[in-house]
Amino acid sequence: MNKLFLLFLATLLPVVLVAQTPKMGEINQNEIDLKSVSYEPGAGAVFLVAYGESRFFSEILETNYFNRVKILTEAGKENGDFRIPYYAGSTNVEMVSAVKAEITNFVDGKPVVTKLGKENIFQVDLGNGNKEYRISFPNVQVGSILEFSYKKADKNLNFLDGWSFQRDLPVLYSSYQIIMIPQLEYKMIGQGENFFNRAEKSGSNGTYKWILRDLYALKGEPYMRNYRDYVDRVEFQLSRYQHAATTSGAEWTDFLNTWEKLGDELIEYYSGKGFYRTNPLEREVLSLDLSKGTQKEKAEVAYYYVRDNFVNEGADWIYTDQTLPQLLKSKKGAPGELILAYMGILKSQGIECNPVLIGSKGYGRSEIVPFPFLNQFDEILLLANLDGNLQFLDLSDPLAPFGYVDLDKHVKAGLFLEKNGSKLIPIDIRHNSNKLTFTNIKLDNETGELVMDNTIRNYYYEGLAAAHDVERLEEDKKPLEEYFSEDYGAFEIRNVKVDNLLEDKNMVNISFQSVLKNATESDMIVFNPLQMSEFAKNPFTQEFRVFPVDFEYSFNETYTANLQVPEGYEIDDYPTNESITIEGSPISFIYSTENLGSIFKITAKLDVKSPLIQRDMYSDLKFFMESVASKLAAPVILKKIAKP
Amino acid sequence: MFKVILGLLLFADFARSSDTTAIQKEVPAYSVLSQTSNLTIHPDYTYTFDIERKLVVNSSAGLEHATTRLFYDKLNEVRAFELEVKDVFTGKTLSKAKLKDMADGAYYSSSSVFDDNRYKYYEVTAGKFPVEVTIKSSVFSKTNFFLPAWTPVPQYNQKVKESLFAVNYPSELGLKYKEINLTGDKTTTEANGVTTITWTMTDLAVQGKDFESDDDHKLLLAPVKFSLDQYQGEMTDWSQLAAWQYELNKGRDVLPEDFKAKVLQMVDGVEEPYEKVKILYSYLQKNFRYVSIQLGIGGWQTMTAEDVVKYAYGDCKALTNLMKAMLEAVGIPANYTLVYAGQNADDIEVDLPANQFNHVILQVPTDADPIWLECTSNLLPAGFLGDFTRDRHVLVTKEGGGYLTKTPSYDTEVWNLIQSQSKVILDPQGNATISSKQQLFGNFSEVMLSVKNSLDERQQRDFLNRNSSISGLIVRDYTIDIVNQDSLPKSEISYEGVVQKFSQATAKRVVLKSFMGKLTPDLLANKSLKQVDEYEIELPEAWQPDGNFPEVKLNEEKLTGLLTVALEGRVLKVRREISVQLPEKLEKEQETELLKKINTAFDRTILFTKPTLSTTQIPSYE
Repeated sequence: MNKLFLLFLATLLPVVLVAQTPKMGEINQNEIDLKSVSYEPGAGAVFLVAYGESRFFSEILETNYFNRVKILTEAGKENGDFRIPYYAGSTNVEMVSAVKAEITNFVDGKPVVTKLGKENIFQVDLGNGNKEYRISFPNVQVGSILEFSYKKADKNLNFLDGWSFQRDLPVLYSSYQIIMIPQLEYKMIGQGENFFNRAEKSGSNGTYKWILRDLYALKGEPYMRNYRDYVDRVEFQLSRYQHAATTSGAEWTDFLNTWEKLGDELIEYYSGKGFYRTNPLEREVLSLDLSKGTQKEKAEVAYYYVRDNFVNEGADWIYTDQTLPQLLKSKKGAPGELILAYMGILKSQGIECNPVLIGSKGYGRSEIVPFPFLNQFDEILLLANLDGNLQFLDLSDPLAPFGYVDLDKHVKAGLFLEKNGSKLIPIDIRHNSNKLTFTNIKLDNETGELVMDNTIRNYYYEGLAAAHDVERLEEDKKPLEEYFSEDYGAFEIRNVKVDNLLEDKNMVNISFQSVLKNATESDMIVFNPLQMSEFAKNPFTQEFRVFPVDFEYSFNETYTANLQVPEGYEIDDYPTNESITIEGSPISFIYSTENLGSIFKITAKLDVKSPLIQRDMYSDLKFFMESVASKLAAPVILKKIAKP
Repeated sequence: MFKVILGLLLFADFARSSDTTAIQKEVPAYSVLSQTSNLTIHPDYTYTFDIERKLVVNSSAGLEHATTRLFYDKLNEVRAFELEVKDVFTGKTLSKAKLKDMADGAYYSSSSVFDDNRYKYYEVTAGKFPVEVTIKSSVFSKTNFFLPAWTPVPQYNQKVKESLFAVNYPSELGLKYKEINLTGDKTTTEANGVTTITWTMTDLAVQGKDFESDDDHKLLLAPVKFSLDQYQGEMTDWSQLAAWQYELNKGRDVLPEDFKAKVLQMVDGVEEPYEKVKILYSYLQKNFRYVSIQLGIGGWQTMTAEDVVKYAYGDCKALTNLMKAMLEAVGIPANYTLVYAGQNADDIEVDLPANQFNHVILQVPTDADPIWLECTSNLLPAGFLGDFTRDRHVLVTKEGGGYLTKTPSYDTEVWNLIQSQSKVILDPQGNATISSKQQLFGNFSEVMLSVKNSLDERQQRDFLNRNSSISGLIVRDYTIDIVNQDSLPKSEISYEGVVQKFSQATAKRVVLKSFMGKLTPDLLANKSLKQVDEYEIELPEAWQPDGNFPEVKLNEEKLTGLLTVALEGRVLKVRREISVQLPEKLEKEQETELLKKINTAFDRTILFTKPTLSTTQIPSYE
């Protein structure tokens, strides 16, 4: 089919259409006068223009790129080097040519233009088919305007790169134009809050153009691991092409027109690699006794066999480097390969089980694209029917117990692969990844120490994260006390013990003591009874957000401290009760104290009900979290009872 | 057959050890290595380096021990590579590889715009264990300027049964070496004008990730006579190496006439040498930028000053060479100086004159202490070196010779001073407005140079919010001024803002917990600290002191501290003063203890009574 397609395209003539495009050297007065970016003051440099224009020539898509950057500060001068990466492969799938660059400096108000030669433009072969041009601009000064342009020829017409509107610097004008040809029909995939809400769009006679202005620089923010999923983008997936024009009209061939077809192609691919054959796997697991038990029990035994007998190494990816026989021989594979092998074992036991393709978090999309478009998927899950219950299964994490799915795979939907029946399905993996902290506080009169016996129960994915932290410490031969970051304060961490009960009880218990030495020396002991919350310091200190706050999943943290009032002391003072939330209650916090005579009880609970909090709620959230931090750090005061 | 038996024995040995409870505490070995390395230096200053490794890989974790990575560039060539993987039990060959099977890659440096550093690599896979992997490799180098070092235990979790390193060199060329923790045998022979030295170490302990690198076995080599791209020299002592480096750059410092005239004009009428240095250094910083282009005679010869002027960029060599030329044009001699740079880099081996450097700075001699210039920085004041190059041995190069000296350590109070004065107005709910001024000197100001220059306003505000000792600070207006006092970096920060919950309300009281921040290792990184913080806090009318105010006095050798709190009318005056000088050698545990001691001493709470029970208002939507 591809051959036909390419032959056909080779007969096409380029479509010529006059369009307004920014040109090198045509710098306007506003650009010359610009001294800073109004919405991002202090930015070292700015893209005045980032422009791309694509059109079809024969069997390739040619994109002309043009960039104009202004240096605004001394530190901004470090933005005088640019890289143009591309994948040439062994057949020049992508080719970059016509790299041109010039720099305009203003001497006594007059422009002095220097065109860059070969001594400033380098081509680097990075290996494995990856190549890169590197441009180093000479004479970069504050006020310099750097321009560079190049052409990229792309032989892959199934999926077009399109355009990402943001850069690592702020962008004042980001625009992309594509001139379509009638013989190829593409589905457009747009993404991003700005793209949908404020992009200037135009389209006529096959020419489509999008403009976005005044974009923030892409920078990481706390509680936003996957900000690239929120970048404003436009991309294209080929849906059908015209393979002949007859007197009766155009004849079209669908390219990827149904989920079923897309799914069948993937199944065919995996079958070609041997992953739908069960015989080799039956031999592989001969040593396992899978004859007894429920389907879930069998699936669990098989899971641990694969997890513990194969090395999990390599990028999680929907395509596999190895065939099944190669995997069984090397005993080492990428998560996708291990998942497919695991599927084979389950199928060999008569368990209904199929792959589900997903676009993982961080792969570039926050929502699934609702038409058959393969490039949106990058990782695999399994959906198994175990004793009548559907369960998602994964093999990405060598520490994860049966039934855990890598958090990056907790997305909204995926493509369920089944011969002639592939379809989009919702994914809703529920878990209670909470944290419970119990503390017993007492004064040791003999040593004069205030001893806090703590137990933290980390459930589900909190537990898994704790297990990873502990494993890192053990690998590095570091004491478990380093699980808690040293705060160089009065309290000392002692006797840390970790009990990994993830497989049986979905929790990791961490017990330890925090001890205040010489506590009895003064008449008052002022201390914080809830010491171990990461929210005791407000993580949100930035003025505003560009991206939403993403806590990743709903959870709660509960703290309970029981203070045994020591003999000779009384509870003199303690924090007041509090119950707070923000509008819509996506997050809430309660703090309360209770005097039970010899025991003084402090409880607190932070409850994150909606893990994704939009940026328009940020200032409320920031205020809320500061209140939480303040309360979690509030002291209790024990006072010696005055002797009459 | 012998190989199979050997493999079996090795495996049996390993298996036994891991079954023994007593030995389980020992570091596990993922592979067992026998290695022979042969370095042959040829009379034409080239060398060939052949290595034969035989590994028994016990588990998948040991496979990376068999990974081969061979560097190459214009001076170094990978000539041979052979690899064979065998089943230890059956002796059956599982896989083989040759040079053509190796993958190829570029060292992808984020900082380097262009270099020619590449490597060939091969990764071994195996499905069952143990496997025996035999690897033979040969590389050829066109220069003996850089000689490989020998680390008998190359990997963590690797048992070394035997490692042999032999170096053969024409006696006439000479060779120097430094043995570090070598405990094995050494033999030296000479025949036909070729000296052969062989070191052998056997049965070496497995090293875990916590192994102290100072305890590692190592052999460092350096040539006596050497040549790099026709530039011949000797490294008998540091002076000779310096002289050679000088010759390598000779004639490359010629300034274009119009540029020279401009340089002279810039300092016209200026008498004081430091002022001249400052003017020209400032000009370099403003008009030239650092770009890493590691080309030219093994990356060791500088671009010409003329080219640097033309492009207004260059790497460390190029910018240093240009600055040197500019200073010499105005009659100030300066010395191109080699350094091993890195924030936490170990010092060089001072008793092994050799190429141990990776960076270049400039030394400007004066009648007193020299002026040091980091020419790749467009931020540092003239005469101040950042933590990339300070406090270490460097090689000053001059015509006909040179010498080893040390860069400044900046470990006295004048270089490590922080002062702050803050005024706080508290409202009855415990929220506050604050205006604060801070002065950071020396090393502490270095951070502010990049904050001031590299962060945008949102990031600068966030930096101030996050790094304030006061939790809940929201900076509104601020200024950051760099007001260096000659070579002493100085920053002045001034901000106004609000603080949510500066004080905390308890059932009976208002509590002012310690708000001046704890001392952390960062503050003592340069062995010295003087910090003086002063607060004037205007209290709400109704608040009354509860009990005595805390007072702290520390007066020990090399540690003094003072905390005073006094109420004058409605204004609470708090002053904290800490002065610490750490000894040269201080273990991490001791430093932690010291920090805890200081922080515990100053962790004092100030209490006030309230006229009524808590009136704190928190917005609530529930």
